[in-house]
Amino acid sequence: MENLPNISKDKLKLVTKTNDQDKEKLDTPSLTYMQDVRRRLFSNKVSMVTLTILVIIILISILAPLIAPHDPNAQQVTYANLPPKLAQLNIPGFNGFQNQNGHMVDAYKQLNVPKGQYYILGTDYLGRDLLSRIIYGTRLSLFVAFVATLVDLIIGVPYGIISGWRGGRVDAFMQRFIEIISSVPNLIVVILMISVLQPGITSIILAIAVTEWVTMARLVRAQTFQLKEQEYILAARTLGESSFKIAMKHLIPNLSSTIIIQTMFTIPTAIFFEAFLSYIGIGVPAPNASLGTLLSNGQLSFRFLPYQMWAPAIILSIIMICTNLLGDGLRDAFDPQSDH
Amino acid sequence: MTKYILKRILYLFITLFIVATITFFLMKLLPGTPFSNQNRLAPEQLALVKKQYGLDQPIWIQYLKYLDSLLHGNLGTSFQFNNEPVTELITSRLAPSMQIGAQAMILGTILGILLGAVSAFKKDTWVDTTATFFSILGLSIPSFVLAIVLQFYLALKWGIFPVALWKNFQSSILPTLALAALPLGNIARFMRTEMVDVLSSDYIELAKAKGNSSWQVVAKHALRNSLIPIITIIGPMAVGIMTGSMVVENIFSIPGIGDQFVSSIITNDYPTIMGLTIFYSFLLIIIYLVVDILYGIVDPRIRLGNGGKE
Repeated sequence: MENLPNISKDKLKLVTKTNDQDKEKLDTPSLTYMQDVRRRLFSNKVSMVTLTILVIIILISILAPLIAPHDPNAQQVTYANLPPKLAQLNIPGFNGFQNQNGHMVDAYKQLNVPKGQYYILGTDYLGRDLLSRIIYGTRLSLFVAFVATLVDLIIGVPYGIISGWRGGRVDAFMQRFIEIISSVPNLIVVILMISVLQPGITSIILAIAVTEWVTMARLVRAQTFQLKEQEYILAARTLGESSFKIAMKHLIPNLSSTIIIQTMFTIPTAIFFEAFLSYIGIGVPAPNASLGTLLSNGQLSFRFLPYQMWAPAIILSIIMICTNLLGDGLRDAFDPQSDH
Repeated sequence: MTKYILKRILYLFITLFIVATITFFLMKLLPGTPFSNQNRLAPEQLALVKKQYGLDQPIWIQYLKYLDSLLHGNLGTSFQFNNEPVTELITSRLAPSMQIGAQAMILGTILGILLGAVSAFKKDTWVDTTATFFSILGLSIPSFVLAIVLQFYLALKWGIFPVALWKNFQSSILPTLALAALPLGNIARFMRTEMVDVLSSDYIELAKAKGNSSWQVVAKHALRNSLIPIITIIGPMAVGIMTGSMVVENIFSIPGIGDQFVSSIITNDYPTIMGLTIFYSFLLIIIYLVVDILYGIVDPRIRLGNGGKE
């Protein structure tokens, strides 16, 4: 003891229990899985940009009756095929001028449109305001896509869970059924169903949902197979929990990432099918507009009136690109290890 | 392997049988008949026409007759084109569809592989970003939108290609481009993922350590090993091209089966619709089968024999 240096007492500090616990504390709060996912998603610039664009498009289509400047189905044949014009601003392409026999002519003056009146995206062959038609068309396309995706969830998720959970012969039978359905190209099934059900919004939704649930069911089944071997599921079973309750309380929450990601990829497919069907003329019936019908009308006259084709083509492409990119972003956020 | 292939072929026939059955009964459910607007037909004449097409018999007899003629490769006669046999209708229109389909597949695959490889090799640089952007464009923009835009610029405005004509190779370029975008995007994305994986593996490190240049490594080792999984997406790609071709053929006035399918729908031409549905399914099942067999041959690690259980 004599070799110890002489340390003054005030340099020593009593270590108490509380001091000890402080060291164990983490500086940052621990995140739940969903918080972690959200943080990863929000830090992804591409996802945030696409999400913003999609939210704006969705808001516009929900608020369509307030935003659309005209009634989308109101015809005014005297003002047919007017080119785009934005107020009195003289922006090329938006000044109401049109190429007629090689000369640029003010189409608004020709048709004696009152000075204050203009159509931002022009009018179609029946004098209907294209901007309003596009807003309502987007609304209809998105509605069809969302409802079809919802129906797809309602069929696909239970099918996958039952097939994976029951296994054995039930699973084998259910899988053969899926194999048969997926051996016919989806579009053909959709077209056949629509021919049987008569064209209309309900048939489009049904037809898309009937084909699209297969992928969802497959993914959910594969995941359920893995999940049912987990200890907590075994524990729940041992405690006598019913299969339905296990599915609701344990399986679905753990399947949520798979389901959300797949849903994000079903939406663009559904939008594509709706546009495709309306384009070939067995989709949304007239006079209602959807992006597909607008595109097909635009294509008919795009030689002389290209503006009628551009607007729906651009909006459709933007929605498709954004939903695909957001799907990628969500997948990265939910499962950072997977590089697609 | 032989046993596996035989089993798959058996499944092929079962699936085709079910597809044929479902299509047959769906068609019977269809509202309207092709004779519904011919009011001038007297009831006796109508009965005569119905008899000619066998529509006066009970449904199950019609069904058995239908199956029997299917077995003989007879898909019935079209209502639309002066009783032309559907089989003939399909075969005479098959060539253009096959040509643009195959061209699109080849073009999309080659460009997709290049794009994906470059973007993996230059990962996280502006090259990667640009390549990824293009593959997303290819995946997202519907083929018919692309077809219209191509037609507008390359054919109408600049007059480089014919607008809507089916004559020579030149007239097949625009539809090929429109259809190639989807496989291009798909393959580029797939390829990038595979290649990033392969590039970080040990044997690539070894190849680099031995003093090979980066490009040699990519060309000799990475590319070859990344290519194998590409085979698996050939099936879905073929579906994409089939779907796209229906409208693309219509836009460019190509006398193919896609265009035929769409016009048969509009004219209620049941035998043609049924025939084409069965034909499309048959094609698709064959493609899937060939792909699975190819995959087993190319990559011996995959043993198809164990029932394909997940």
